[in-house]
Amino acid sequence: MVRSRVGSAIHMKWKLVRGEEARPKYVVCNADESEPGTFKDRVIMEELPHLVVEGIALGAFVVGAEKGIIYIRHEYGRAKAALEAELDRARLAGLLGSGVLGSDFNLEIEIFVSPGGYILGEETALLEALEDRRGEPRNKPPFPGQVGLRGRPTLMNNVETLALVPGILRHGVSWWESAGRDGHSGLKFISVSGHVERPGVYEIPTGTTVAELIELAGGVSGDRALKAFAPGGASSNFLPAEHADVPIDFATIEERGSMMGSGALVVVAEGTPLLPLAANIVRFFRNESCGKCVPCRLGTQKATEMIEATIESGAPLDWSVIRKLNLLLGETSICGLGYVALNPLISVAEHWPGEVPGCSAEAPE
Amino acid sequence: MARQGRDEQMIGLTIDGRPVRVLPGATIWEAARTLGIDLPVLCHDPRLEPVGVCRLCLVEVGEPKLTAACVRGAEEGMEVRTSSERLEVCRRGLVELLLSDYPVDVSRLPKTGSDALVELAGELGADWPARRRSGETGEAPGSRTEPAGGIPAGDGRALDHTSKVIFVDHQACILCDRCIRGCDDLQVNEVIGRTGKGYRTRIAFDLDVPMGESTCVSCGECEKVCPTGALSLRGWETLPEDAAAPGVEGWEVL
Ligand code: SF4
Ligand code: SF4
Ligand code: FES
Repeated sequence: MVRSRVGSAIHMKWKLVRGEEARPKYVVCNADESEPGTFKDRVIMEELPHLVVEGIALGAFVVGAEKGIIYIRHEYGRAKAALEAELDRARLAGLLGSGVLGSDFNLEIEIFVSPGGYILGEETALLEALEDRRGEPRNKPPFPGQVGLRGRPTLMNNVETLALVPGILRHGVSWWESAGRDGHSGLKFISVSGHVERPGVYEIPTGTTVAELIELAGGVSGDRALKAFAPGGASSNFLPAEHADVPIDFATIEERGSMMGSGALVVVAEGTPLLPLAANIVRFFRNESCGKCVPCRLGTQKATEMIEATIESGAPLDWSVIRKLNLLLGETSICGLGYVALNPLISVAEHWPGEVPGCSAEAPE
Repeated sequence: MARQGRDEQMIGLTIDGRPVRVLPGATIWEAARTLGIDLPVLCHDPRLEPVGVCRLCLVEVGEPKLTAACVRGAEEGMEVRTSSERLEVCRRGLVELLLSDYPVDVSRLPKTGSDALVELAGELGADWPARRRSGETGEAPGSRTEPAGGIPAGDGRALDHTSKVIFVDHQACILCDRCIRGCDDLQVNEVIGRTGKGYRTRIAFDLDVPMGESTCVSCGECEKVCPTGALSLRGWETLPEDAAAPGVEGWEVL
């Protein structure tokens, strides 16, 4: 049977936290959705808040937590209001509070508004912020499942994952697995943005191809051809148009050299120069680096300066230095922001060497 | 009996193929020390809780990513490698990154004879043109750094002359967090912290005032733990004639 990656990830995480002996335990719903191009969680929270609340309650019940926290991005006012209304409803219905539905299970869920930027979506930086410290990622291990909020076992999932749980429990695993297409299992919310006629959030059966999703979104805007796409948000590698036949699922996208990432398809039309786009993403990571570790604090700045100088003057990038910075970021950073910071640039150089002065002479990697 | 109970709790691992047993809670760095293996460190000091931010002490433990030995706990059966081509390249690269923002006019060296970053640069063969002149007043911010290993130079951070005891050169600060832990945790004066984010992060005194105006009691702990020229004792020869005059240079560029 084809197991979905999401399914087994949920299973393993919940089982691990359930097995931990320390008390109290916590459930944290990571609603600090901040990856550029990613807005599916916002729509889920605004339109399906009951699924999020139910998912948290189920998670708390399974792992043995009595406290749930929804950590929400501060720009998400409407989503927060929807969740608040839903929490009130759940309290009135006896689904939250002490003695849920007459049982001996107690559960409180609170909403915590993120005080900071992108990096607080990193799970351990999020915990630091919840504990009133600088929002910087922790060295791992230990992982939050064992040593999380205030040193206690903490189950942390994102909005989409938690929202899927009630449906899977209600309709069964085989329903979930047959919801995908062509041997892929499950459904996936994707934020579609960039050069498409109807950007927005689309729920698709996994296995749907990128080309089909672009069609669903009204096709490439302005009747242009597709040039490139990033299948998983700002930190995923760009792929050229000929890969648009890739079925959307974790493994299939990885086989093509990118990743599902934050579930955000960014579409780029023919005629768009890619180096400024890559520069924009590297600059984003430079701006959002927390500054805790040397490779990322300095490496993202140096790379940004080098790319900006090339764009301004047309002078070649010193590709051996870019490669060195990429190696340091990937091998020595504390968290994922540092690991991926130069990925988009490297992928542009790999697929469109002619657009990156300095890299065309030699293979980029 | 008690002795045996303790032995049973000990964690066994190998470092560079050599077996070693340590008490639970020991880090890889501590385990390596018991074997006489000295891993390079910048942010770590055995008197302080480790923070693992400089990444110099990286080792291989058979996981996809390298791990910082100063914070990573030793685990039963772990096979640690402390030297390899990959580690060498990463350590040299990290030092070059730091040096590309480091004043070539090294202020700590002439006074104490030690500057951990410059020493590491020598050991690891980093490509950087150190100019070992003395003097902390040197050149104005803006022309104090050189590229290192092809990495473009950065500069423009402030010099803080306001304390009568300690000279602060923000350009030489590598944000290793040692002064902060020394001030807050060892001396419990709680004067130093960090402010700003990313590349603009820097140490700050109290709510970000010049050091001489802060609640600093001039105990000297931060200067003692600082591995670089960022905090150095002001020599009598460099005490400004009018102590109030020099103030903070380049504060606005921060
Ligand atoms: S990789 Fe970047 S964002 Fe992550 S801990 Fe290091 S400096 Fe902070
Ligand atoms: S001033 Fe010195 S001890 Fe303090 S963070 Fe900077 S380099 Fe480290
Ligand atoms: S000494 Fe371990 S990371 Fe700095």
